[in-house]
Amino acid sequence: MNPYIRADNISLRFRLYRNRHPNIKETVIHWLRGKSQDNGVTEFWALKDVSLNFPPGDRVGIVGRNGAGKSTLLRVLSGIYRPTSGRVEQEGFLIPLFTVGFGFNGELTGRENILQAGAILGIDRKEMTRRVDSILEFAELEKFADSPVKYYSTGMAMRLAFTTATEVSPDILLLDEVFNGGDAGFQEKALVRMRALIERTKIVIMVSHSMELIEQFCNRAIWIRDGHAAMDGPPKEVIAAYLASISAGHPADNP
Amino acid sequence: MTLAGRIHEIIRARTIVKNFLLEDIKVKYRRSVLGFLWSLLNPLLMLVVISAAFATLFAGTKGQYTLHLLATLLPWTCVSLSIEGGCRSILQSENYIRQYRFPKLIFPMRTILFAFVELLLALVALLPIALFLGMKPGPPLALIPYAILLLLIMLVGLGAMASVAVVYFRDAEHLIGVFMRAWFYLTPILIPFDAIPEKYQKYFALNPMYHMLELFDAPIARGVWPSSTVLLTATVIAAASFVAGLSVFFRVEDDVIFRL
Repeated sequence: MNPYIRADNISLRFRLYRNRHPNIKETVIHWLRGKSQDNGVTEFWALKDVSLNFPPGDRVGIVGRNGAGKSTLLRVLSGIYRPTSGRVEQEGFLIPLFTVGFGFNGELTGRENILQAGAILGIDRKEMTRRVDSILEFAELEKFADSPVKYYSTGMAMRLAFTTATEVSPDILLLDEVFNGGDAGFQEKALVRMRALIERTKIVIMVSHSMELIEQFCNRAIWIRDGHAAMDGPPKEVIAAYLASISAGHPADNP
Repeated sequence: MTLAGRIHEIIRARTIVKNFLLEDIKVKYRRSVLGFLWSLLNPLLMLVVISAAFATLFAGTKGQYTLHLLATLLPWTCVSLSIEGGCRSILQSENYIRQYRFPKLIFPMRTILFAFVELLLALVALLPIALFLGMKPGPPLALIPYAILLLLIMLVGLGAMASVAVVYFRDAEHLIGVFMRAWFYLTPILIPFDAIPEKYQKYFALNPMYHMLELFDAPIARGVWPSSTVLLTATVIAAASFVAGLSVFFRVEDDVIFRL
């Protein structure tokens, strides 16, 4: 089986509500008065007719200004957002890493949290049990393995989260500006681990504002502008065009 | 997504639910000396308090009244935990939902199954007390597993519906709380069905929860089979709640993330 991920003409409409959470009380009162409630809906299209194909071997960097739709694209590709129209087809074990350390349960120990994260990411418990010790070792937390995570320092929790999240071996990896944290020594180790993860993953799509990172890791770059895929090609060229457009002050590139 | 697709995803996510459940059980019973005993002492003490208070009202049937309380209060506790806990379940899991693709039913399921674990533990643990109070074990007790199954089917539907209702209407949580309290008093729990004046009984029989709890009450408190009407009604109610709840849930499931 060859993993792939493909977006066919995906568009995503966001509805912004001025009154995001109407309550039953108001709704009923409005209804009784015979007028419909104005929840102040404004719509905007975060993605407009994007078609992209990612075959195995792709290491894709996604660039673009804040709010251009980069993170939204990753969330649609990962299935977290269902597109308003169009479809995403995908084959292979996909893992999105957007925020490191989601859902740690403070009451549970480091060891138990690792197993829990494994279950969420779809890793067999036995398999995960075998890997727990190496995760704890890398995160330098052997001594605290059986203490509840709520007693961890921020740095310790981050190391645990990063190490657990990067223990996986997916076919497709989606990354959104995640990887920093820990002290200088750990960061160095973390970068090496990250590189290894990217190397063993068949398709990697990452959103980053670090052009350096993208040039270093990627063999393809996509520039997302205003919900469109404005350019798709070798990282050097895409990055050059993107940076040129920013300094030229193209209207769509001004936040 | 198709219904079959959704069901397939839920089945695939069962290990996640299992892990959540183990996690919740561990967290609840860790670091307390009495641990799991608390979940037994709790209903037990409640039974003692309530039956002491109401014993005078139902003098003469003291043992049986306490048995009736036990048989109805334990499943009711499970109902209220499932619905009131279930209605917060999706909101509380926002962190998960934003980071990863889940079949979202696993979040209310986590709450509901935990309530059932507690129900099972309490039923087993209070068995000696029920026997002491004069429960006559007989063939009707064989119905209890079916009663539990029906209750579960019903609560999956209601809990799922409550969990998304609260996403759209944040004040629904308070309304559900008030509703559950009213429902408790309108259900023959504190006052057994037989103690209700006969001319009002037909109104109380309109309450779906009466039929549900009667499935526990008849075998445990009175040692008899529930009537076939009750059995049939309870089955239909469970199935209808399940279908209605899940069809609402699946319809809005993909939209929920935009409303968190």
